[in-house]
Amino acid sequence: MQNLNIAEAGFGYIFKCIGLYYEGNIYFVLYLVSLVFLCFIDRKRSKRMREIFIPQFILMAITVYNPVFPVILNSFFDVNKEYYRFLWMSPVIVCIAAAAAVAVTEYAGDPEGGTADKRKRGLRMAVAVVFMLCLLVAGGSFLYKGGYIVSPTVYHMPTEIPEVSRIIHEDADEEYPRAMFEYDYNMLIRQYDASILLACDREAYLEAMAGNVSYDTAMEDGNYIHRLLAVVALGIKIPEDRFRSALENTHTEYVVVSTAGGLVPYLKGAGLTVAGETANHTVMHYDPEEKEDFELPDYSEVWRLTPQWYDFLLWLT
Amino acid sequence: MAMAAAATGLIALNFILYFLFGSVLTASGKREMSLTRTVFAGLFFYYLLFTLCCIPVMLRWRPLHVLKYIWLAVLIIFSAVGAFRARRRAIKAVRKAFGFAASHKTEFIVIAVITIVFAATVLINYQFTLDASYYVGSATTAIQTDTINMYDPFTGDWLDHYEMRYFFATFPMNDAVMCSLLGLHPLLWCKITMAGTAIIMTVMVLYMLGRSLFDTDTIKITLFILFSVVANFFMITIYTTSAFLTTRTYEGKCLLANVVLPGILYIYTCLLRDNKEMRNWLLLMLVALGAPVLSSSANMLVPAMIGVTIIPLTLLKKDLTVIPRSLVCMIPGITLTVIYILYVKNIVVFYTYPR
Repeated sequence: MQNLNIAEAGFGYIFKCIGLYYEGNIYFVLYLVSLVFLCFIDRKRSKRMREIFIPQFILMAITVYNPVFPVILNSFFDVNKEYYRFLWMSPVIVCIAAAAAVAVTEYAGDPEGGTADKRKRGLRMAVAVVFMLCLLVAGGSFLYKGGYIVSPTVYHMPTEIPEVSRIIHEDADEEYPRAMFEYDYNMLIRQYDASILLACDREAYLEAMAGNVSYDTAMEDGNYIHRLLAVVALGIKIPEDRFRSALENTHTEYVVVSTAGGLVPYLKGAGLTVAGETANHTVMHYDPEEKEDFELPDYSEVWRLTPQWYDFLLWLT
Repeated sequence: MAMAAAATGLIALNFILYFLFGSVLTASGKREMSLTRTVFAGLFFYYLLFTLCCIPVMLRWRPLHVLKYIWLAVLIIFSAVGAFRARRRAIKAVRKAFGFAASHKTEFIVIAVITIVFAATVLINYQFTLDASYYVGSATTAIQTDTINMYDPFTGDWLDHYEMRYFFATFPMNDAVMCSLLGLHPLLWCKITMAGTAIIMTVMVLYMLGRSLFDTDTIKITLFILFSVVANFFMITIYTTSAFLTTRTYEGKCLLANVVLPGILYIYTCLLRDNKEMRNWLLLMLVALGAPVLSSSANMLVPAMIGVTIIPLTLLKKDLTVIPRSLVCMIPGITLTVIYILYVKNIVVFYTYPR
């Protein structure tokens, strides 16, 4: 929860946190209803269900759901972003599913659980369907509401990622070239190919996407990362020499942009050349005045000075 | 396609390893062996042993391939010991499990279909998730550089100290080691093998909870699993346990939210039946020791879950010995949380070079 701050929200934090956690779905209400049903209405097993679910619910209510608790916890260490994970401890889905299972089998039709009577079986099916609809409506959302996207490759990556990686390595002189990508590719490329270094890390990119990078910040002296982000992530066309200085100072040799994004002419104007193209992306190359000398540190001297019993394994590959 | 099939097949390897590792611990005494409990215990024992191998190697700045061979030796030794210890009991347990399944054929077929459809739906789907750049990136980076946590997975730059948040949570390094041993790309391992493993493990824990709630009423258990799976597609915001299960399935946090925490609830249901039973307490301790390896969030969540779930046993059973036992199980998480606070305060730092 990046935008929620315990110091600012104070005792209201927990309510905002719960609100964001469930974000419009009423599963928490369903959980409470299920709890009451299992522990107080379903007579067959209510004692055991009460012992399982009620003490935990009470303790959760006086700790995790207590408005004072996050404030106290936050005074020891920063839990702003992660406090919502305490809400995982409530067995919301377990309770709802258990209540639904009991309701379908015992409160629809034959209480003995027999299946011979077709009418009763039909009634059970109807109750089960009603519960399914209830889960759907209570959710107010569906995992695949935006459409179900079949993974385009076995790597769970866009098909162009391996192509972009190949183009960069075929063009580069060094084993570890540094590159700058648009948002999604910047997050994906190193999962596929860790020999491509990135000019921008995830946090810097998220800052840019959150609106903390602008023309003005990009023009500040020495703010090279903002210059790269301004151009590649936000499409802000800063003076080309400023962009070039950012490439030079961050040792960025490749810039990968979508061809349809309209940045290619700007990048050509800044002195980059086309290294290759895929169906939707253009890989642009910049020839820096000073090449980055990236090498993996050699630890052999450290190993020699700190011998371990398993060092014979060093010589295997 | 062959690679995807191989990655899918490796889900079975994971379960065999968890079972064999679990057998080392559970195949003793006179009690009957439970297949699901053995796999559940094995998961935590597996990761606990891995981190015990990983941290000393990492602290001595040795490369990933050293850890790979050490882990290979551990896999062979513990699998052999597990197989030897379980040789008779496992056959008996498998026979009993199959016998039970055969007498409730329809329900078990439905459970199998639910699990396969659920897993296939999640595994075939393409999801763009930000955190993969760290978790999958860590494994890819470790293999590329032949190092352990020494490079920033986001950029590939060298780090001068180990990031403490991930220092004890060596789950991604296990991904790297297994990929290295099997010659598989981390994307295939994380997004197919580990994602499939997490989903099946989640259904298995639901089954264990179902057995605990409804005994041998397999119709109720089947419906319980069905409704749980369906609910996971609808309780969707980026924060819920369901979101981790359906979109960030390759992360240790997915196992924490959907296996560890419901697993502690399951152990509580067992303790409710018999709070003197030592093997339940040992299982809880194993979870407390193994969970921080999956995700550093477990350092806080596991003690908290033990606090709100197990401590009430004291009143229900009128037995004060529950408190010290629970507190002992909270120690691993609390200790790691304190170490993390010391790191944040700049008191404890582990550097990636000798100083």
